[in-house]
Amino acid sequence: MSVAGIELRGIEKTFERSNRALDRFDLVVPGGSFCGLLGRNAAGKTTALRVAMGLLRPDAGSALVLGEAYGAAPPAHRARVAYVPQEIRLPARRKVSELVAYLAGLYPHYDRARAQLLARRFEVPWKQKVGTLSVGSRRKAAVLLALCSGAEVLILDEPGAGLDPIARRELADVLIEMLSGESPGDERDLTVLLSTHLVGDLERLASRVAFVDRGRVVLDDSLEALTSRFRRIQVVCGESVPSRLEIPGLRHVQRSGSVLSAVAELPGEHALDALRATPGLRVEAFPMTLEEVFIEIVGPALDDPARVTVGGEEVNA
Amino acid sequence: MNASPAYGAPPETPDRCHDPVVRTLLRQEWLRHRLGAISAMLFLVPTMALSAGVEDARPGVFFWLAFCMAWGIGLGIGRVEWQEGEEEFHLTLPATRAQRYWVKLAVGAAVLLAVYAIGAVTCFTDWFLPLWDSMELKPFEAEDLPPWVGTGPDFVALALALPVAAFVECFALSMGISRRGDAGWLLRLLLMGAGTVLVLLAGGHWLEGRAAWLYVPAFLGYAVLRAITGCRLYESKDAVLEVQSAGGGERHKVLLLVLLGTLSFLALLAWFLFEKSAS
Repeated sequence: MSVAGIELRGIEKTFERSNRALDRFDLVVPGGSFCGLLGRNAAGKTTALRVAMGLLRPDAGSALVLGEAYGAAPPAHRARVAYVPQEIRLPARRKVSELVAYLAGLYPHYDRARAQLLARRFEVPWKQKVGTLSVGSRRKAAVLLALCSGAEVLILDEPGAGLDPIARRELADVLIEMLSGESPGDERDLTVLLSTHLVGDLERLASRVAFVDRGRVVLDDSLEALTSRFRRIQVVCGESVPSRLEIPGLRHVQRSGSVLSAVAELPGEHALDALRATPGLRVEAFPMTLEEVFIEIVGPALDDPARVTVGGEEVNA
Repeated sequence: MNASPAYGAPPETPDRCHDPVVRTLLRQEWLRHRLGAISAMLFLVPTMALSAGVEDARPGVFFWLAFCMAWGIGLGIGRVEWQEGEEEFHLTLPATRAQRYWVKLAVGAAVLLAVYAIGAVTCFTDWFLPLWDSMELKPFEAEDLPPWVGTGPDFVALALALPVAAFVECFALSMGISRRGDAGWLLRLLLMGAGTVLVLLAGGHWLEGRAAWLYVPAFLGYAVLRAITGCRLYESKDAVLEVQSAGGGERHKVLLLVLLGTLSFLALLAWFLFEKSAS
């Protein structure tokens, strides 16, 4: 039976003082896919990952990784999953090489030679105590510790935060190599769940993207479908402005003179055919970046979708 | 991107996981707590006690020494990971929480055993006699034992059982912490320690010579139950995830020092009372 890489269903988690971090959080990451988790600060991304890793117990719902609750799973199952937390707190008195040796005793497929190679590639001092490393080096050390574990599922919580652009690019390259099976020992299919604010990294890496807002997944789709579905539409009205204009899937619209700029969620390009056929209008549709789609979905416009009426009434900005 | 595979079966060599995991955890704990150095240092404890002015050393010294050390060992081993903010790292590794719990408990028990061994060596053999002679100290004699525990095996049994219960309680309590800012557990420990001392004093007064036979099974039974419930609690708790705030660790250290100081004072007070009643 095919089992999802990560499956979070109906997760609820409330912290003290009624601080609801997760509210019916649903996310399924298919095995072998790379899913990016995008959300504003305090949206619940980190809490969701911690629930998946068994660090936090949900008030309701179920969290499965490779078909089992990670927290209750035996070591053989747990060794199939590796995690990089948002806050890197490695044992400060241990050297990177000692931590690699430690993890090699816990993960049956741990690749020590590769860890050494990655340490050189990431420029992480191999024989230096973790407590004396810079914040960036510590993060890189945590990432390399996880990447060499031989795990089938990688859960990464903002691994690129605080890294310089070159280190971030290096990390993305290593992940791409792992996903494409170019790295030695990466014959197995890898499932990755990556939480980040760095949208550019996701566009490069992810096959799926989920947007998280106020403790819920508000959108979960493949990156391709997401970016093809949302369009920025420009409508230039000629002299004869129609009294009523219908833009399908309209989410947001602004008017500047005779030009309407709108964002719409379209089932396909053909959805604009009727609009394009309207006399006196010039309609153009432009693709949107992931960041633009994210802002559109999670930003303030979400609660207040616009309906345009041109001619008689005012356009909602 | 690879095609979606059929997941569900663990990868090959699953049998390798169990033993290596426990071995690795044991080695980690040994290195983390510098147990080699601590074991060596423990042999200096009797010497330090003697040089600190314990002129009329009795087994009671080691009884209370083991009791106090049990608190230190239990708290030290149980709290170190969350205190240093490493729980998120350790609890997301392949070792299960139960494995971590029992390995840590075993390591702490081994250290406590070393304390016992020193106590036994110094109390019941003449291994240290030359040292004591040179310091003009007297070796232990049967009549020096506190009257309320009787002599012989019952004293030994109590001297073993009480620190075991104290160690397990401290360990289980500190392992089960899920919030860094909660200092209530330290107060709880302090109250429990004070309560234990008072119960011992009362029992010693009312049950002269028979107290140990009552306390030993009670303490050992409590230790077993607390170890099991502590493991369940540790398995189900939320991990301590807050990053250590500046000064937070220092505050805990001060509280811990106050706690240990109070316990030491209570122990000395109890010892003084025993000595007074013996004379």
